[in-house]
Amino acid sequence: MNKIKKFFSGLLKNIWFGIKTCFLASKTYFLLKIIILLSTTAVPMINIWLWKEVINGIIDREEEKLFLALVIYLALKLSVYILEQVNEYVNSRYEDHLQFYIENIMMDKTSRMDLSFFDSAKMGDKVRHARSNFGVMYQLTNFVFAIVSSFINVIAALIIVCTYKWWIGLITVVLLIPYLIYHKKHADKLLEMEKEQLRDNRKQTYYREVFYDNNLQFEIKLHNTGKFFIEKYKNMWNKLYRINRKEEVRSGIMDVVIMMGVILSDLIVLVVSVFDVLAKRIGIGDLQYNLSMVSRLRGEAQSLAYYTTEFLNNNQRLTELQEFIAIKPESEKSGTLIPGQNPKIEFCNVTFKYPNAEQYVLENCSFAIEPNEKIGLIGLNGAGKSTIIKLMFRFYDPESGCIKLDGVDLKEYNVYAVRKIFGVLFQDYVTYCLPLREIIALSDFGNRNNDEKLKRACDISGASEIIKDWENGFDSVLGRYYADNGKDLSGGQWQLIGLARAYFKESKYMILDEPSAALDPISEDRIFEQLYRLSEGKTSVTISHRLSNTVLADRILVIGDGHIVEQGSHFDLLKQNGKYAHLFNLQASKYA
Amino acid sequence: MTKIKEYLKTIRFSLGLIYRSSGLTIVLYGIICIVNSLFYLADAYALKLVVDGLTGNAPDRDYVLICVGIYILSLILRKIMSTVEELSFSYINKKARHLYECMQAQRLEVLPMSFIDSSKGRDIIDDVRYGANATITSVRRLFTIIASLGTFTVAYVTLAEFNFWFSLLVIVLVIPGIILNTVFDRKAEALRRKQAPDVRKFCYYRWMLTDAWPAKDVRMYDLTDDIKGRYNEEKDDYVRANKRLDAKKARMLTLAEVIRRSAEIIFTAFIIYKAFVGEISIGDIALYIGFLVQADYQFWYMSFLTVISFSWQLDVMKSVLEFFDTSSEESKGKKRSLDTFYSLEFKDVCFKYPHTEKYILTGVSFTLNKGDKLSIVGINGAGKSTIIKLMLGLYTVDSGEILVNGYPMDEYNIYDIRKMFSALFQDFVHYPLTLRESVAMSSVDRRENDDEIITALKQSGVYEDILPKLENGLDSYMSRKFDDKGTELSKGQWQKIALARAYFKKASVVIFDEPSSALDAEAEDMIFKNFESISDGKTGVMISHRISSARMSNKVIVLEGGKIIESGTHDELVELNGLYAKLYNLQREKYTLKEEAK
Repeated sequence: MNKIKKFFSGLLKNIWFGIKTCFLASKTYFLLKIIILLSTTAVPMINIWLWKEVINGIIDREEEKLFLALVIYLALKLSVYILEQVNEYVNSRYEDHLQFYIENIMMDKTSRMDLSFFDSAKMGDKVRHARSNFGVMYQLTNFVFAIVSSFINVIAALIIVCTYKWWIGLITVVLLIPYLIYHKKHADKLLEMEKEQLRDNRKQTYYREVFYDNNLQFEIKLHNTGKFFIEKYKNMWNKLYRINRKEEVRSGIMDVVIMMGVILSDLIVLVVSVFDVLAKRIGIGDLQYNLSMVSRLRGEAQSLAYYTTEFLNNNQRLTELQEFIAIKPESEKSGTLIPGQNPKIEFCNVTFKYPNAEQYVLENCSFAIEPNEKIGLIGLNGAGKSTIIKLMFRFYDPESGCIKLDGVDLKEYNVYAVRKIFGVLFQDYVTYCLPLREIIALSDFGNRNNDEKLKRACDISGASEIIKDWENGFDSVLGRYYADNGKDLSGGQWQLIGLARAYFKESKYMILDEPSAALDPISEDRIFEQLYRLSEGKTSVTISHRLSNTVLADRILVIGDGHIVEQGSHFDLLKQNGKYAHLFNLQASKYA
Repeated sequence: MTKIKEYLKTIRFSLGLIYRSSGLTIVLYGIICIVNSLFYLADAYALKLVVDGLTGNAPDRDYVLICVGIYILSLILRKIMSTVEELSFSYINKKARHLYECMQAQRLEVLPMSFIDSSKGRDIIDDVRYGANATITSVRRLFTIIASLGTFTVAYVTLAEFNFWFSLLVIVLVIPGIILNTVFDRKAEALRRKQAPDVRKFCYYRWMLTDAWPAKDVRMYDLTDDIKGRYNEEKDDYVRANKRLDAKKARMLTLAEVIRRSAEIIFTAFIIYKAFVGEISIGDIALYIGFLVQADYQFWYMSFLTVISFSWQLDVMKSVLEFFDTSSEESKGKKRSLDTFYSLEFKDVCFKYPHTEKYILTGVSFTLNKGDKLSIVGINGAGKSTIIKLMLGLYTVDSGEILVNGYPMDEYNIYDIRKMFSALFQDFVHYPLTLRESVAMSSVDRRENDDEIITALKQSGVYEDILPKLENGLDSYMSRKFDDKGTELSKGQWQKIALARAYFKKASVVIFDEPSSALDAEAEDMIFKNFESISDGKTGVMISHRISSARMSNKVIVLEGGKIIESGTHDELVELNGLYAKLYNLQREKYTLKEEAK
C-alpha cells in the first residue's frame, strides 16, 4: 500500500515537473498550444453531433434546422483545418524553445558538477544516462500534451455513449481492459528486452562502426581484421534477431486477437442502434453518431493507453533527472577568500584516493613549494603526479590532511579564484574543433579578440611556427568537425597550441604536465629554456618522464608509494644515488 | 528523363538488395499494401449498405444485420491485414538493413585510404552510413505510391460518375498546396544544409560543457557562462532563421489549405443538397464523403511521395550507388607470391594526402634491408609517420616507386605485404574488448593461443602490472563499455598493450612510431632494449624523438621538409655535424651536465 502511494506521489511529482518545464520553456507558445489543444479536441465532438443533426434534418425534412447545422458544421470544419496549420507553426516554434531550454539546463547542471562526477566509468555511464534522460524529457513533455488531449476525449466520448445506453459505454470500457493490460505487459517486456540487450546492441554497433574511424582503419588494414569484425557483427545480429523476431510475431498475433474483442463494441452499438432505428426510437443520423462515438472512444482510449504507458515506463528516468538537477554544484564547496597571485603551496600529510576507487594514490604526502621556485615532479607511470596537480586546483579534496595556500587551508578560498592563479597544460589536452582564437583563449575567454595577446602567447610557446602561413590566422578552424577545410594538427603541434593557451593567461604560476611528450628536441629545448631561464618572478611545476627536462629545476620532487621519497636539486639527488639517480641514469646511459 | 533513368537504377538496386535478403516477402508486402488501402473504401461502402437498408421503404432487418456483419468483418480483416503488412515490412526492413550493413562494412574494409580520407569520399560515406533507410524506404514508397494510386482511382471514378465537374474541382484545388509544399520542403532542405555547420557549432559547445574530456578545462577556466554564451549566440541565429521560414511557410500553406479544403466544403454541401432533394440516398452521403476524403488525401499523398522520391531520396541513393561502385584498393591481375622479406626500397617518392595541396614527401629514397634497424629522425611534421603509412601500402605514391624485394609494390597482393609488417602507431587504438582480443588483434587467427599472448604481454612489460589483478584473466574487458566490471587502464598501460599487440603478430618487420611518448623511464628503457635486441633476421623501424634510440640502429635517415637531408649510422651523422648532431646534442648535453656548468 505504501509502495503504491509512493509510486503515485512520485508520478504526480513527475507530471507536475513535466508541465512546469513545458510552461517555462516558452510561456506564450505553451498557452497557444493549450488553446489549440482544447479547441481541436472539442470541435470534432461538436461536429459529430452536428452531422447527426444534418442527417436527421434530411430525413425529417426540416429545411431550416438542416441549413443551420450544415453551415456551422462546414465552418467549424474549415476552421479546424486552418487551426491545424497554425498548430504546426506553433509546434515547430515551441519545439525549438523546448529543446534549447532543456539543453541549457543540461549544460548548466553538467558543467557545474564536481569533476569527480565524470570520473570512474560508472559515473561516465551516469553522465551518458543523464544526457539521454534529458532527451527523454523532451519527448515526455510532449506526451503530457497528448495524455491531456486523449483523456478529455475519452471522458467526453464515454459520457456521450453512456447517455445513449449506459451499458454500451460500460461494455466498451470492459472490452478495452484486456487491451490495456496486454499493452502495458508488452511495453514492459520490450523495455526489459531492451535493457537485457543493451550491451549486445552496443557491441553490435561497435563492430559495425569500427570502419568509420581512420585510426582503426589503419590497424584493420595492417592486420587484416575486417573479416573478424564483420563476423562478430553478423553473429551478434543473428543472436538478437532471433530473440526479437519471436517476440514481434507473438505480439502481432496477440494484437489481432485482442483487437477483435475491442471491435466487438462497434458490433454491439451498431446492432443495438439498428434495432432502435427499426423501432423508430432514434433517427438514422443517431446511428452514425453512436458508431462514431464508440469508435472515437476506442481510438482515444488506445492512444491514452499508449502515451500513459510510455510515460509510466519513463517515470523512473524523470525521477532520476530531477535527482540529477538537484545535485549540488561545485561552487557550493567554495570558500570566500581571494588568494594572491603567487602563493606558497603546502601539502600537509595529504591522503587521497579517487571516489569509488580502492587504491590510495597519495598517502601522507607532504611538501611545500615556495614562490618563484621551479619544481620538477618525477615518478613512474601511475605514481600520482597528475593527481597532485588536480588536488591543487581543488578538482578533488584530500581524504585527510590538508593543502595550504600561503598558510591558509585551500577550502577557505573561492575555488574559481584559486584556479585563476595557474597557467596549465594538462597531459590529456583536448584537441578542440574550434577557431584557433577560441582554442588558445579558453584560459581567458573574455580576451579572445585581443590579437596582440594571442600573438604573444604563440610566440612564447612556439606555436607561431605552426600558424605562420595560415591564411585566416587566428580565425582558422581546427579539426574537421564543422569546417571542411579545418586544419589537422599532429600531436606535437597540439601540444604547442596547448602551451600557448597556458601562456595566454599570463599568470605567475605555470603547471605543465608532460608538455613535450610528442615534441621534437628543438621545440622541447625551447619550452624549457623559456620555463627555466626566462621566467624571473614566476613559479612553475613540471611533470616529465624525460628527466633531462627537469635537470635545471631548482628542486625535484620524486614521488613513489604515494608520497615524496626524495627531493633536492638534480645534483643532490644524483649524489644520493637513489630512485632518481636510477631513473636518470637509465636515460643518460644512452647518451654517454 | 535522366532523372527517371537514375530513379529506375536506384529502385533496381534496392529491390535487388531486398530480394537477396528476404526473398519473395516483398511480393506479399506489395500485394497487401495495395489491398489494404482499398479497405478504407470497403468500410465506407459497407456502412452505406447498412444505412440504405434502414432508410429504404420496407427495411429488412436480416439484410441490415448482414450488412452490419460485413462492416465488422471488413474492420477485422483490415486489422489482420495491417498487422501482416507491419510484420512483413519489419521482416524485410531488418533483413535488408542487415545485408546493407554487411555489404557496407565489406566495402569499407577494402576501400583505399585515399578514398576514405578525401573530402568527397567522406561526404559519400556520411550519406551511405545512414543510407540503409533511404534504400529500403525507396521501395516502400514506390509501393505506397502504387497503392495510393489504386485507391485514388477507385474513389475518383466513383465521384466523377456522381458529378464530374465537382470531382475535377477537388483535384485542381489540391494542386496549389502540393506545389507550395514542395517549394517549402526544398527551402527547408536548403536551409538545413546551409545551417548544418552552425548546428554543429552549437552542438560542439554543448559537448564541451557536458563531456568528460574537456571537463577539466571547463572547471579550470570557469568556462560555463562563456561557452553557454557562445552556444546561445550560435543557436539564436539558427532559431531566427527557422522562425522566418516557418512564418512564411505557415502563411502560404494556410492559404493553400483554405483553397484545398474549400473544394471539400463545397462538395459536401452539394452532396447534402442532392440527398435533401432525394437524388441520392442517405447511405450515399457517407459513401461519397468517405470517397471524397480518400480521393483528396490519396492524390495529395502520392504527389508528395513522388516529389520526395525524385528529390533528396535520389541524391542519397546516388551516393549509395557510387559507394558500392568505387573500386577497392586491391587491383586485379596476377600477383607475385611473397614468402620472405628481403628488402623495401623507396625510389624518389613524392606524396601528398588526397585532400591537401602541400606535398609531405618530395623525392625520398632509401632502402630497408632484412636485418636492418632503421631510425627515422626529424622535427614535428617532417613526414616521418607518412613514410610508415606508405610502407604499409595504406596510400599510393604520387610519383616515384616503392619496391618490395626489388619489384613494385602493386605487383603483390596488398594483404601479403601487410602480413610482413607489424606496427605500433602513434595513434594506436584502444579496443574496448577483452585483453585477449586487444592483444591478438594483430593476428586474430591465433587469439586462442594463451601462451603466445602472455609472452607478448611479458615482452611489452605489462604482464605483471595488470594480469594478476584481472578476475577473468585474458578474457577480462579492458573498458567498461561492454562490461561494468571492465578494467580502466592508464595511457601508459594502453601503450604497453598496443606494443604487445605489435609483438604478437611475429611479423618480419616491426615498426615503432613514438612507442614511449607516455611511458616512464623504466618502461622506455625496456622498449629500447627490445628494439636493440631484435635479431634472427627480423627488421625494425623506429621513429622517436628520443634520439638516443637511433644509436641502436645501423641506419639513420634524417627528414626535413619532406626530404632526406642526412643518412648514415649514428656515428657518421654525429661526425657530419648537421641537423642530426644538433638534435642529439641538445638532448645529450642535459644528460651530461656537470655541476659547475650550472
